[in-house]
Amino acid sequence: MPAIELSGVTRQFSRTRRPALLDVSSKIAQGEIVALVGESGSGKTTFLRILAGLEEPDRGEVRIQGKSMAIGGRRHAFVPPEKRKLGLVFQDGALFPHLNATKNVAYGLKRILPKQEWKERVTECLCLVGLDGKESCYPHELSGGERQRLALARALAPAPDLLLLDEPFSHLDPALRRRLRADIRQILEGIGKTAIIVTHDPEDALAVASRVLILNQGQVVQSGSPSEVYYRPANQYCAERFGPANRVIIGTDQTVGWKRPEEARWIPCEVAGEGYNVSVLDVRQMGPLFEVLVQPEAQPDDQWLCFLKEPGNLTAGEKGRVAWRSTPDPVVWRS
Amino acid sequence: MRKSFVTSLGALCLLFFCSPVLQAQESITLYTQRHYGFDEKVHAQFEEKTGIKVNVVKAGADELIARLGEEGERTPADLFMTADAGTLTRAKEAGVLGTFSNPELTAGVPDFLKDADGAWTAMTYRARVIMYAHDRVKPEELSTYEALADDKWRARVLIRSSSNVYNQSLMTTIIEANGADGALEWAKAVRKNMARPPQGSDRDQIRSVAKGLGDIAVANTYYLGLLETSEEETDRKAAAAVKVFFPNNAGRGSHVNVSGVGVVGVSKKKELAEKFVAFLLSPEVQAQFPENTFEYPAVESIELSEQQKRWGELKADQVPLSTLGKRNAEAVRLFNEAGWE
Amino acid sequence: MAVLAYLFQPAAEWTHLVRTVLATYTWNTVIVVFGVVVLSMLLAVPSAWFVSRYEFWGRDWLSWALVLPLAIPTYVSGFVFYRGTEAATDFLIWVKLNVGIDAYFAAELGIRYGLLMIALAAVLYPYVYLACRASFAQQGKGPIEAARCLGRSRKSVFFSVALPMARPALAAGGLLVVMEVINDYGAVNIFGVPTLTEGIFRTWFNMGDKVSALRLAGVVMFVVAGLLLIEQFLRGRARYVETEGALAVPQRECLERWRQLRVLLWCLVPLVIGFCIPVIRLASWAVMYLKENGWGSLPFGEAFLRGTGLAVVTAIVVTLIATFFIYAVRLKRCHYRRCANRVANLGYTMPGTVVAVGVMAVFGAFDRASEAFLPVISGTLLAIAFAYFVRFFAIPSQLIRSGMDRMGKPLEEASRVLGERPLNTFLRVNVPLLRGAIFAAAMLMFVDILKELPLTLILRPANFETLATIAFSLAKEGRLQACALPSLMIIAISGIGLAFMQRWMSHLDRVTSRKEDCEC
Repeated sequence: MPAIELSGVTRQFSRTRRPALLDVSSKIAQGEIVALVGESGSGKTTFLRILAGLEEPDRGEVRIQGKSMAIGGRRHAFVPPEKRKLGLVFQDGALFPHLNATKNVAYGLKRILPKQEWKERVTECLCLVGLDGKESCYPHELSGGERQRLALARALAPAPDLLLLDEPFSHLDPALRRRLRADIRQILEGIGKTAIIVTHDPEDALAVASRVLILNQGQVVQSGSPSEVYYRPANQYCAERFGPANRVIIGTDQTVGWKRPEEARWIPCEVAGEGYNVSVLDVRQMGPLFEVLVQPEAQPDDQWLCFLKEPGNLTAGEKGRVAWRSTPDPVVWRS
Repeated sequence: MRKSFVTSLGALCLLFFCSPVLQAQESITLYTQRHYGFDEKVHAQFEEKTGIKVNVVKAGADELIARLGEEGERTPADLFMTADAGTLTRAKEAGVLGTFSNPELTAGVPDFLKDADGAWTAMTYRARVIMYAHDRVKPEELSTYEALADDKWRARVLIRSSSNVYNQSLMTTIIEANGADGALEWAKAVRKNMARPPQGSDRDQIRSVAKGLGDIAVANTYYLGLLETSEEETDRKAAAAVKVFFPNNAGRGSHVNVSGVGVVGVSKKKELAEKFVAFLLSPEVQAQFPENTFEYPAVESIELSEQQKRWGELKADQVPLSTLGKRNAEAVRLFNEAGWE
Repeated sequence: MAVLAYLFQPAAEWTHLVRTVLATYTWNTVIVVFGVVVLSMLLAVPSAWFVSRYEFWGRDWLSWALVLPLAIPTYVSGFVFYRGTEAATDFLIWVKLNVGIDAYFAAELGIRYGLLMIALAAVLYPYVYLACRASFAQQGKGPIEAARCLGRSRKSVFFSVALPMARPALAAGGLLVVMEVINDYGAVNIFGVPTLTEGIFRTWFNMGDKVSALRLAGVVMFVVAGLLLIEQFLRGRARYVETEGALAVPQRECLERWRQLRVLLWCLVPLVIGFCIPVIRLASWAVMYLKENGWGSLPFGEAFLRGTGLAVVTAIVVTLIATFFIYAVRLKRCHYRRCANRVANLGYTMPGTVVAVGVMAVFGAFDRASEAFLPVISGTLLAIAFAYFVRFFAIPSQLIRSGMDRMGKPLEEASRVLGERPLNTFLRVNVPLLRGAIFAAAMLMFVDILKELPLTLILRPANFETLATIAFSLAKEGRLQACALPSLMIIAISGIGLAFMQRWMSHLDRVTSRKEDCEC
């Protein structure tokens, strides 16, 4: 039984605008950590909110743990968010400003557990996210990262079957983001819960998720393991989600492939072998790597970006060849 | 904690809102327009004498008529009292007033001061007169209301807004005497003669005459009496600066209006209510009005107060007041036409 | 709705009204409304700006004291300021004798209209002040600092950035002022300026034409609705609210001494006009009265208790209902609920008397229907309370709605996802977070009810007096000195209430957001 099953879900906010979600069908297995990726307005937040019960689908059905939660157009079949037993971490935390850390975490527990037990549970959850010692702090007294972790603790406290995270790392600086990302992955792996993370940051998706769903204009355009979506994007849109990608026309049958800049290899003119003839347009040093912009001769409409470790003394105007390493086999980054 | 708060709040509300319903003593309820402190003393005297408590609702006359109409048979009111014959007539026409069971009750009141069908009776009346600055105006220059339209009064007349019912009832007598067209011309001319656009109360008109903003004011007599006995010294001085002229004394007489009272038709305590009316018309109460509110007592043969004697001899316009009430809307329409705000 | 139905019935006097007085009424209304709004903005906006942006001596108490004029009913300020026309009498007589009668009429008109506008603006400006102060406090430093960096002076920043950003607040506050002015009956009556509201009274009661009167009320409502639409249209798509960091209290700038003085004087002007002058005047009358009559003659003990009790209970109940109502509307953005919301707010645009008669009709019908099993409700306090509810519902509903809009949806959603039903979410999240707004709404309601006159006069049960009705009947008798005492008591009670509210709210501000002290 899949943890989540969407069939033909459509959500349209107003008649004049295109739908936020259009006929989306998807299954998510137990224990999977899925990242939803897409540009803003692609429907990823709506996806999450429909799962959480904060939006109702216009058409299609949502099932969680095998139970039907909402059927488009049938109001009585709708299960309100409070009955869905899931945890949601909001973009800005959405912490209750009038409650301290303990009370924030206890919010969802008071109704289901007796006092002694919820107190223990709160302590447990705060420890889990590393906030022990900050029990009596109010949200505005915490730092950005602490607030996000508090939000996570609050969502985890009632032991939900399913955890949804909406851009949990936005508004954080890179270092904090990296640390929190690691923390969250550890926590999620530790408790073995199904989780869905909405993010626009490719690193979040690649580092935390076991599977990535790419959405565009309300539709799922690619689904696969992080390395699969990274190295074998289905189209330009998917490719661009994870940084620069170069369009390469392969072989005689003119199939289009996408190559990442770090897959490039420079072959000087004098060395014989495979590769595409190119001329160098620009060279810039970026830390240990060199960013080289080249013009492939066979594709006058495209420019390729290559990250090269030791390009020698390449200068603009120089001619040579670029070869692409064969794409590594799709690896499930974490089983 | 929250629950107990809500319960106690609810209980409090219930107690609070229901409290006026629970009253035991024998009582009558009076809807009145009159705002005079003296009336309360009269009510107290009545309670002392008969043991009947008078409950009072004070509001505008027309609002009270509307309220009586909406409350219908369940109204707590037994009596309706206003300071204008027009509203009494309107109340009668709206069907909220009954008739006095005993015509003897109002025997002492002259016919023109009470309703022909016995729906209401005056308890006092007041004259709407001209008050002039005695240092600038000679009484010989004054004659009638109609003469106020004369050009010689350009920018010298002070009179209040036509929204006021006293002016409206004065207008009805003008219509009665001169016809609608004549009344319209009169209103236009008087409006032109005003020393300033109509504003303030009758008292303010008298004060302004004293200050010299205008030379004559049209006001009710008792206001002068109230100013003469005011708590404020400037008011007493203002009162000393003007004298009363009774217009149309040579003709139909000065315009008078009444404070009157009627019994509410659906009242269940008509007997008690009529007892109160009788009390109001009794010599002991009637004799107190001239001294306290400076109104003329409705019952003839009652001694007037010092001030009233000093103002001069009043000859009242005898046109039945109940007929005037019917012309009220017309009066307002003419005021509108004349541009008298 | 009943009023709307009347609009389409044949009306006997309507053509007569249109031909004669409608233009005057409308013109007077427009002039007075315009003048009062402009004056209130002049009084309110600079002081709100200074109080929220600069640190100067007296800022703390000024920031709440500037709200105090709200405690003074318009009819009281009306008769206090009308006395001012008497001061001008000598000047007018001089003009009349020396310049000519036309000049005299013009001068008289100018002085009267001017004083009327001042009398109204002086006690109504706090509506604009409150809205602007909140807006200025929320604007955040960003745009203003950006403008300063772009080379604008303090003054020019105010006009080019802060003021435009505060426009929704200006509009909201201004709209309240407009409605108060349109509904005012006391002050315009004293000054002899017939507005549409006076026209309604006159047509209804003196001409006996209910339908035309209600049509006039309809005209008033259309004017207000028109103003609302124009505002929304002008606002267009521009957004004025910075959503992020809305809670941060901006640091207030310190000023040099002489500038402090200047700012202080600016802020004192509205306070003096709106509060000190009326209160001192009333106090002197009250002293005169007490000298002659002594303390024994105070008959308002009971009125004080009953009126205040009614105001407290009604304010609390109505505010609670309003909070609940707003939440319900927010929960489900259905069309009919939004319409219900609009209709409920209409009560504020209707003159009190119209509301009163409508409420009487409703309860009359209800009583007739429930004769068998329920006691009569007409003429009880319940009827009054209901009328207050209809009349003033807009106040708590506006305040609480803006509070809820600012709160943002995620908090509620978080609560729902954490397993709380909507009702519990409301009690555990919305209510505690909005307690400032709820308290403020209840307080404003309380003050308004305490001052309220026409409804109370018409609907009250027998022997029921409030301070306002006593003050009114004494003023009607012309006993200004005696009337000063209950008026002062109204002002004192509502003043204390308002001051308390202001202090408490600023305390809340300090708790929820760290206050950065000004380092002078």
